[in-house]
Amino acid sequence: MGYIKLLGGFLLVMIFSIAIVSYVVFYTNDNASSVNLDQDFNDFNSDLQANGTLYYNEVNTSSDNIFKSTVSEGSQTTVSGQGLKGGISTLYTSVSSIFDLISSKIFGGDPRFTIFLTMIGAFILFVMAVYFIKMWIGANPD
Amino acid sequence: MVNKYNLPNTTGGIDQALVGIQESVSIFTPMLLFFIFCIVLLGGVMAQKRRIGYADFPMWTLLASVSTLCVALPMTLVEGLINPLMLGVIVTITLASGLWFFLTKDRGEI
Repeated sequence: MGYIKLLGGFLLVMIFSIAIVSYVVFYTNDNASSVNLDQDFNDFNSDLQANGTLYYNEVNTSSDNIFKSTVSEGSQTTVSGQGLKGGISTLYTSVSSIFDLISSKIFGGDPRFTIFLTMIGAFILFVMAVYFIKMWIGANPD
Repeated sequence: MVNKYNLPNTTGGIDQALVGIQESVSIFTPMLLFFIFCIVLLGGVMAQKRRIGYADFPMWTLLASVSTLCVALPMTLVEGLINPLMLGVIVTITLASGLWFFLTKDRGEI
């Protein structure tokens, strides 16, 4: 998995999360369900949709910067490298929102069980760091 | 014959019978949903492994989670069959399996 597929994977995770949570929330609201979803789901839904909007704006800004970037004569380097920085912060908040929901709904918010989430998060960060380093030294980022 | 649980009322419809079973044996709905999850997961994994030699565990976990969610949501329309905690756990597992699925694709795959 390269840099582009990693970003694409995070984007699809965010879209998938919005789809699933919106489906559940609106299904229970529209069909007069006997189960009242607590406030966590509504907050999570709002957070994810805000993340999606922010990601959309960041990607638009980054794409605009790519088109406006210039190469000075003889240097062969782009002045602006914003295209590879788009959406990182919102992707991080989106994944951390999923981790918050896992911690709340599966582990009951018990801080003693969050070691599992810490391990998973550390592993994902390790994989990301490996690929960033791999990309930095010139390997093919797909 | 002495039963160690209250027999469900089967004259009020299938849903009332299910609610009666759930009231007597509180693990009934979670086990039913876990059964559906395992049927989709193991069936898909075994079939794919027999056909092409390897099994895509993240994909079948995601499909099993979504299938379980699709069965669990109509259960919320009957009072007493599933509780919010169970639904929350199913949604969370679905999102976690989606995270696993979208971050484990090798090159050449989706």
